[in-house]
Formats: sequence, C-alpha cells, structure tokens
Amino acid sequence: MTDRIATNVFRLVLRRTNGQLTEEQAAELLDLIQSAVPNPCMPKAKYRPAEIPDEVVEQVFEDIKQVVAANPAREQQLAVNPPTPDERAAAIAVQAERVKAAAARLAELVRLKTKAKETDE
Amino acid sequence: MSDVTLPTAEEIHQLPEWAQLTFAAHCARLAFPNFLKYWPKAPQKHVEDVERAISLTEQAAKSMFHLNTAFINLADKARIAADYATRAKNVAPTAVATAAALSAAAAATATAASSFRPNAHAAAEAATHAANAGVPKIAIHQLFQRLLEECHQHQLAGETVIPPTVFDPYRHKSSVIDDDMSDPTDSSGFRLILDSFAAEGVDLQDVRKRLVTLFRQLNEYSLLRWGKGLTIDEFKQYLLAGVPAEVPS
Repeated sequence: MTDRIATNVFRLVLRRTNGQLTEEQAAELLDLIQSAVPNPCMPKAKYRPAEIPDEVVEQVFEDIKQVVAANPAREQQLAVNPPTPDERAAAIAVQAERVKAAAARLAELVRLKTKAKETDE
Repeated sequence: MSDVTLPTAEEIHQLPEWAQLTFAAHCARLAFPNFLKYWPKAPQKHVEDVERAISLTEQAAKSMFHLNTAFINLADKARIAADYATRAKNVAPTAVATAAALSAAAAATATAASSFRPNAHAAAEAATHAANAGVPKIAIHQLFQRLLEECHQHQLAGETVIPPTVFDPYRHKSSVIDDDMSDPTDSSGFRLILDSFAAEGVDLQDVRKRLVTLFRQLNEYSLLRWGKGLTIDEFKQYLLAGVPAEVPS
C-alpha cells in the first residue's frame, strides 16, 4: 500500500464472549498481530463516522456473526474433550502463525493499526 | 436492490420544508468523500468552502435562524467551487458528478436562504447527482425513508423547525448487532481495537474477507488458549473528513 491518505477506516473492536479480555489476554493478542504487522507511522488526517456505512460493514457483521454463533459448540467440545498439554501447545503454536499470516494478508491492502483499550465501566 | 429508485421531487415534497433541506445536505455529505477521493488535488480553499457550506446547510435545516447574508454568500462559494471542479482539467468524471451534487445542494441552500423556502426540486437534483457521484442508490433511498419515518414519528410537517436531535447528520444507528452478540456479563477489562485504513482504489470486499479471516483466526486462538471465543463490541466505518492535516510527498 502506498503512503496515501486513507479515505476509509474500518474500526473493529473485539472482546471475549460474555465479558472483556484481561490485560494479559489483550496484550498477548496484540503482540501476536504486531509481531507480524507493526503499527504504522501515517500522515495525520481527520475522519468522521460514516452516516450510512458501506454495505461491507453489514457483510462483516453477518460473517462474524456466523463465526461467533459456532463458539458455544467449540467451547463445549474443548471443555468435554480437552487436548493433552502437548497437543494443546502445538495447536496454539500453529494457530499463532495463522493469526500472524492473516494479519499480514490484511496489511497487504490496508494500514493496520492495533491497540488495547481499557473499558471505563 | 437494482430496482431501487431515487426519490422524486414530488416524493421529497412529502417531507416538511426544512427536512427537504436536510435531505439535500445529507446527499451532499454522502458525496463529499468522493470529492476528495476523485479530486485529491482540489485547491484547499474550494474544499474548505464546500465543507463549510455542507455543514451550514445541516445547521440551517436544524434552525432557520441560521440563514443570514453570510450563509447565502457561503452557499454561493460552494457553488463556485463545484463549478470550478466541472471546468478543471484532468478531473475524473466521478469528481465532476460529485461536484454537481454539491452544487445542487448549494443551490437548494441558496434557494432556501433567499426565499426562506426549501426547494424539493433542488433536493431531488442533489440526490441524482450524488448517485452519479458514486453514492449507492440504496443509501440515498434509505436516507429518504428514514427522514420520512422520523417526520411521521415526530409529527413534523409544513414549516415546523426540525429539532436538532432528530436529524443529527453524524448519528449512526448500529442496529446490526444482535442482542446475543452483545451480552457482556463482565464489563471491566480490555478490548482490542483494530483500525484498517484503506486508501482509494482498494477493493473493500477484499478488505472484508481478510478482516473476517483475521477475526476467525484470533477467535480460534482465543478458544485454544483460554477456552473462550471472541465477539465484536462494535464495527464502524469512518470516512475522510475535510482537508488532510498533512499531505505526504
């Protein structure tokens, strides 16, 4: 991506199902992404919320909704039939690489800026 | 969605007079990012004039007391800026259409300012030009329907001044998230914010796919690592506003 002023910004805010992330969890996820895609230095520009967002926004909601809908079954499966510690460690290591690859793929198209934020409530 | 049509002047006439001006201003506001996107070298003076004219049109729709001589002059400046774009060399056709949308909105503003009566025809023209400038027809259609519904809901008619809270141009209805996706039992803690800055020309559908893939992979990591999946707190789109504070060489 060239060093131009972006015309669109998509802000995705994540948390844990039924709660927020702990500081350590947020830092771990952040480290994973930033090890593949460090936060960029960018020209300053002002942005305002899109009054009527692009249909891309609605599609992302729909796509993510499907992923989230499958979570209870996955959580139960992992609780009932947990992997051995070795299997778990291996699976986590593989998955970490997949996260990095996905972040890098996204960063081919956009400037990806990530941070953790503490909730006020 | 291909058979979605733009509201006609007759349909726009159903709106209270000041809501017609709101509609024209919103059409211009929707088209404005394309003005910057397709004409990045637009003279700063013109960009600022257009931006101020749209902002003042929005303000005017909220309270007719804002309509004064200075406002009329600014509407004229916006029209001049838009006309300049249509005559400038090497400007993409979409930028010209955007300029025309802004020009039409400015015309609606000027008409309202001079006669103290908004003009449904000028508002319809603003909608047509906004569509030509790349604003999806469905977005314009939804905007019109929302204004119509809110006017019925708040029983606004005729020359009623529109309460500012009714037509806040920056209000965003994030009704897409289902209740089952926003059920926090523990509100304290941390959230992860991912901002994707996309420049002009980037395929947003590709961005969508890669963003969802990143979420899927982060979700799976969270499941394996902590036994709990992730969800989204919010997902919003932001657009470039006004003049960039710094322009890269």
